[in-house]
Amino acid sequence: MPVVDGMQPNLGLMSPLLAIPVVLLAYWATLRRLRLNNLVLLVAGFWLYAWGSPVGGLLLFILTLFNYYLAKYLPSSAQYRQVALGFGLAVNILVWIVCRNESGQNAFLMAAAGFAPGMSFYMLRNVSYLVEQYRGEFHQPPDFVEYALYVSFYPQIFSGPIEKPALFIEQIRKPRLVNWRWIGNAFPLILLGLFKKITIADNLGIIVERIFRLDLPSRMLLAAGSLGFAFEIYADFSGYTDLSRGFAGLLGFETSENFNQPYLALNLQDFWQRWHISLSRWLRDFIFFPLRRALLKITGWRRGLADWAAPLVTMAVSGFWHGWGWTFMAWGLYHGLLLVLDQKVQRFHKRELNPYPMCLQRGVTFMLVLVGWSIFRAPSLGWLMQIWMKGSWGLDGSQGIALMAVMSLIMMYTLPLGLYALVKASGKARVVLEPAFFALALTLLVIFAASGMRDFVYMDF
Amino acid sequence: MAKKLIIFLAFFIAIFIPTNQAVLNRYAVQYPLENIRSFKADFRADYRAVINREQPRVVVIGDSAIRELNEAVFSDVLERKTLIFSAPGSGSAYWYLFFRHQVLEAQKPPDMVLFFFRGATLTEPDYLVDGNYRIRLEEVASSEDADVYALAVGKNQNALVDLLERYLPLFAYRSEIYQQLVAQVRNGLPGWLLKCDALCVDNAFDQVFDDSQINAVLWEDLLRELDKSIDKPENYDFTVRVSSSLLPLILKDARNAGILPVFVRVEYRSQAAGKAEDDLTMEYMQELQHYIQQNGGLYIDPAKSGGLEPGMYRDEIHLNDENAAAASAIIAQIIANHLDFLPRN
Repeated sequence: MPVVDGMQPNLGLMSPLLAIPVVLLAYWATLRRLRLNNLVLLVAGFWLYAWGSPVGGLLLFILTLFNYYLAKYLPSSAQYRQVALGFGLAVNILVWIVCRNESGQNAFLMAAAGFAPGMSFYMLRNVSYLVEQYRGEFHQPPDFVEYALYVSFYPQIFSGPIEKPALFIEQIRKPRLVNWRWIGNAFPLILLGLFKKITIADNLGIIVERIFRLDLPSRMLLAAGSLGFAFEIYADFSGYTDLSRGFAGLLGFETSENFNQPYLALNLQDFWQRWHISLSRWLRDFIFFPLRRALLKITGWRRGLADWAAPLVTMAVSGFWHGWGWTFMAWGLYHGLLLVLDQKVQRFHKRELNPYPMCLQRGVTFMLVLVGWSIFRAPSLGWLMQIWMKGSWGLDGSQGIALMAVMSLIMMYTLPLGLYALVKASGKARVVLEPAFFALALTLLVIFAASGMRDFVYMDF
Repeated sequence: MAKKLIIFLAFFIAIFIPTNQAVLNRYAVQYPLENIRSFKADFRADYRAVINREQPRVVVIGDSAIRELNEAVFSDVLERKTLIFSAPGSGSAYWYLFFRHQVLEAQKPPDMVLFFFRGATLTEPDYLVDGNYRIRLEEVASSEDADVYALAVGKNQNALVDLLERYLPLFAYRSEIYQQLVAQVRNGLPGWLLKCDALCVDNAFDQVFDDSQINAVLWEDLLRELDKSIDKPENYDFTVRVSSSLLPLILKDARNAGILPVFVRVEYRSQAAGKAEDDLTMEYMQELQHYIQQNGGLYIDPAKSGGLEPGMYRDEIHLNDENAAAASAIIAQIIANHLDFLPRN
């Protein structure tokens, strides 16, 4: 994901910001007529998407038609049903692969298809829908508008969260109530999202990029870069989620939280229950559980193979979903391996709830996650190996001074995240502290609102 | 809900108004702000000081592609004292502002200024002027550069930004405040613990994060990404683009000051390897050459003379350390061959 300082078009952020008044007015004006209201939302969503990517919009529409009618006319015979599902999944995955592969042999196809941002999230929602339809989990199958609205709900189209089809379609079917309370809840989320993105993520991104671009940074500088990246990607992605939830709130929808203080996780399993929650849930429901069940069946319900293979494969799939390079695959396998080890450790300590001090558990988990981020962000595995084998520690001379300066900057940008966590945990004082925090955030946002903002990191996925 | 909103507004007013007032006091400006469609008043003059001290006869300006050019070799081959100023990530707006304030306003301006350019940068004044590049641009610009601002920055600025800049001093001075904040935090800990002042931290940063330390493969990615924004067919329509570029100003100012402006096209590694150019680029370069020569300048394309080898490069545009001196000699000789008509020392 090559990013040039301040040069990226801001498709994800700017289009909805510019179109908000028009869409909201049309939407609110039709609130009392549910079908029309849904249609307005659907058309507006496609329009906004096609605004940034006309060919992508057309592709999205064709895929939406394909998936809807495939799911609607799934054969009743089990064998043909399975074949139809397999065909549907293959088409979705193939389109995703073509859209993801921006370089190399498929460059021509990409140019023909145009850039279709958020295709990875769109594909996951479609897979959820096809599988749930296949399993017959809908009491009342959705009509075209309801289904299309689920897969292309504009606030979520670029980076999720990935809602469960049945639950979200329930919201689509019910008349929405948009009152001052909803609006009042939505605006702090929007402000928080913008603050995290512009003030924290974009600025940490400058430092992180500088470090990960070096030919041979010192080990400590790599560690600092990984720390910066940990908070950059968190602020970026959770900022997008806040914005998405805020915009959804303005439309009367309640959408999932995707993050729950992930860096305070006690172990790796806990981390994945707090980080990108909707993707973890998707991987659990559609990869981990079916795979584990299949492996248990194959091995006669003996747990050995299923215990290590299921997490490894699931996380490898997660790595592949995040990107094409070996670094992403290694990152997935690394997390898979840690989850296997985590299971072993937990089983070993099964009688004790918390065998080690909480702060130690949190610290170790955070360090392991940081190592994972260094693999994820590295330009190549060879680059990383070179630093581990040949790099200096970089604690003295210019390296030491630069490290100290870089760490100061990372701390400065990370501080507001810590402050906000404290504000949220401040009990009754939160009534006063939270508005005060937002007032300060808005002031800082004015200063940090440079003329060029970067796109959200997860828009590339 | 209403209570939260009132508390928020109270805090916001309590923070926002005093900080805006503080900005007005700090920068001694009147409210509402005037002259918003220009750069801020202060700029660094240390490059000019170097020119005043060294009194070169040739000044070379360009982006990181000229970083490895060897000053001593250039001085020898050109038989004129040469100073090279490489500003990584810069475009024609930066080069012109540098020329206007650091070179033309020097006590004894040089006889000749060499502008090393790539692609269509000379006719794209808004190339690398936004976001973090603006901060660098502000360093060499003054509030009197409204003409440059209009061509380089103004055409992408909308009425909303104008309004905010006029009535919110905090927003208008956001770049300056941001820079000061970052500098204070960055320099604070090394200063306190290691007694390393701002210059010392700057030097450490230069050593650790210098462009020469950047991974060659990643440079290629970065360059591709940068070039993507400028290598569009419409940018190669010379006749349309030249009138809204800074090129006429550069040529006019140079002519008025009696300085010979020389535009040297950066030779890419792929060109050194023999890759042919597309028709659009060739046509653009021909028109550029014609325009420059008609207006008293000199256009040089080292790729046409040959001499540079692909092995002399570190990546697509940067020379490698081992061959920097040899490559500098080749480029300087090509330039010298075009300068035969000028008197030597």
